[in-house]
Amino acid sequence: MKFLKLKKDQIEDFFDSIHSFGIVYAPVKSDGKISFRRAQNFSDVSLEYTRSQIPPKHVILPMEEPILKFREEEYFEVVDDENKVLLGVHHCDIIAFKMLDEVYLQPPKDIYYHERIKRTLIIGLSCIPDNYCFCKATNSFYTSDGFDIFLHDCGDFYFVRVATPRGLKVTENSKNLFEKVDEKDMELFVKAEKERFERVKGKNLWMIGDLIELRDENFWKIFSERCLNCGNCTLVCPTCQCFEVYDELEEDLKSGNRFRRWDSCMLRAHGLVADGHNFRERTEERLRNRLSCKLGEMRCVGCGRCTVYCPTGIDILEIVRALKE
Amino acid sequence: MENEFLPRRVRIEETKMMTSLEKWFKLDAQLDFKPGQFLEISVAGAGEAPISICSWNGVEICVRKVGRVSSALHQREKGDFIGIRGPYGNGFPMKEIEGEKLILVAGGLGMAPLRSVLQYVLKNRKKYGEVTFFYGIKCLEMMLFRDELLKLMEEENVNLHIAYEIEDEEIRNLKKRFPERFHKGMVTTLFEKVKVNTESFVVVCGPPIMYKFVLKKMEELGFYKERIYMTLERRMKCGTGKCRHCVVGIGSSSKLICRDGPVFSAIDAELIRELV
Ligand SMILES: Cc1cc2nc3c(=O)[nH]c(=O)nc-3n(C[C@H](O)[C@H](O)[C@H](O)COP(=O)(O)OP(=O)(O)OC[C@H]3O[C@@H](n4cnc5c(N)ncnc54)[C@H](O)[C@@H]3O)c2cc1C
Ligand code: SF4
Ligand code: SF4
Ligand code: FES
Repeated sequence: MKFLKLKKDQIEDFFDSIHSFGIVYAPVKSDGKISFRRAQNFSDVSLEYTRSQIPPKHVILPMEEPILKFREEEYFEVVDDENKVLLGVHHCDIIAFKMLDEVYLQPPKDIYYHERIKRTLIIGLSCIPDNYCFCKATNSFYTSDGFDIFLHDCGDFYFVRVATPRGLKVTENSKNLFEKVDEKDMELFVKAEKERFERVKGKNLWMIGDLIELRDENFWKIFSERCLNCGNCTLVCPTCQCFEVYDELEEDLKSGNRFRRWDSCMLRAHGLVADGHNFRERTEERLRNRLSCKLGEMRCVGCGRCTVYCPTGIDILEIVRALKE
Repeated sequence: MENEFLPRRVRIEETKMMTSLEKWFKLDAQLDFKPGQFLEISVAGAGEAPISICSWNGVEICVRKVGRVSSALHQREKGDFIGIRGPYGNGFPMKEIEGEKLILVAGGLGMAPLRSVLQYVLKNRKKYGEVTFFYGIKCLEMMLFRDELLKLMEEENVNLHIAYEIEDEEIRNLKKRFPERFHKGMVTTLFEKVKVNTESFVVVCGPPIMYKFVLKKMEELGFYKERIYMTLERRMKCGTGKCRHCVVGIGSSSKLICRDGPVFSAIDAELIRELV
């Protein structure tokens, strides 16, 4: 790791410099919500934010993307070779990418994910936690890898960590913007991180996987009765990996595209097979499956999004509390 | 780089309607596979579906018309092209079973993957002990690979028994031709009618509901759990462990059927919740 310092009045110049490494995606505010979008001008970017509604996942794994073109039974791949810079990603969302890596890069590799992630420069950013965050419990409060550069907000400067050769190239490209760190900067960095740590509620998830399995239907019903099966909780989750695949024909009825699109285990069709048999027919079964995937298999980074964006206030931590009661 | 989602184009060499719902296809493809593995079959414009390889000599599939892909597939004929990916999945442990007695239990379309096992065993007949095949069908009209199976009944290689639900004139004639081979009832009733060795290995495939009954029966009779293998179905979209549609179980014991299966043992069924 290389440690540097970037004064806040230099951040705009830094932002301008990173465009030479690829198309820049950054947190942008619109309608009061933060989302990761293409950002040309620094004035569009909001670096001080708590959580984006949709995680930055979609930059690497679009909500919907063509994966193949076909003409009759000849198939051709469609691969995105755009170089990207993903700026302003919080610890939890970086750790979520590491979880997605485990899925998509495990053999056989998913080349769509792989091509994008390897062409994307990731610049992390320290976050501003709120009461919905529980990243300490999921061990995703702080990350030491999964990024090229990381910016820690320390008041009037960013404490910068450079983790990869690619990250080093970026900082060397605008050498004049960065300064060496001294003892004092290090102290301020530690202080800032400690303050951030204090803001996240402590939670304990031991036994959770077993409790999810041990609780019966009646337990899950307490929560599932309120569920609208809308799928918001999975849509906003940075670690959700499920996708659906479907074809669309062009007007000639011979050629077309094969697409994939995010799917949700909270939707009824997720477990449906022939003869109308459904492996997760009831909402309580689907809710339990989601909790099993997230907390039973520890594929949750404690970002709190599923709770914040559930229209009926189904709170993942409330389920945790109830599981342990 | 190798793109796992890119189907290979293959030509259909031959087709045949097996029943009013199921169509058989012989594909012009060279594949290294194991009995119990499956392919992702692609029909451009309709999509993809997981389909078991139902043969050992060459690559054949038997497809029931139930939805988008299977209906589009049913319109394809000899000389047409389709796409394939795979083979995927673990397949049956044919090596482990060598030297042992084997019982195959198929219900309905479950015949498809078990025919691959059957052909494999017939090809390597000397490596296996006594082979029994139990096949449950609704009626004769729904019987897959009928000519082949009736021919097998005339031979000594395999001890084949059929359970049927609806009796008709034809079944009555077959009963005369092959005494003691056709029995009325579910596939599990064959375990009562036919003497079997409970030390045999058992491979099972059928509709989701069938497994519970078969496992219960085997437990009653005292079969070894670690010798019972089943191939399971889920809604699969990728076949490669990415799309998570085929997840089963809770927490750290959960599995992806496409990657960790589709063949599981009765021991797995004890440890993985709602596997069957
Ligand atoms: C390992 C494995 C091996 C298999 N082997 C074989 C085989 O050898 N032969 C064979 O015929 N089948 C086999 N199958 C089953 C086959 O893959 C499925 O039946 C598959 O769904 C067929 O695809 P389809 O596009 O034709 O059907 P789909 O269009 O997917 O429809 C299948 C069923 O799902 C339901 N459905 C799907 N989507 C929706 C929705 N959005 N809303 C409501 N209902 C919906 C419908 O009720 C329909 O009956 C196998 C499955 C697995 C997992
Ligand atoms: S399950 Fe909820 S808290 Fe956990 S990562 Fe997903 S959205 Fe965030
Ligand atoms: S967001 Fe809430 S209501 Fe919607 S599917 Fe998830 S738990 Fe159910
Ligand atoms: S079919 Fe996609 S994960 Fe199993």
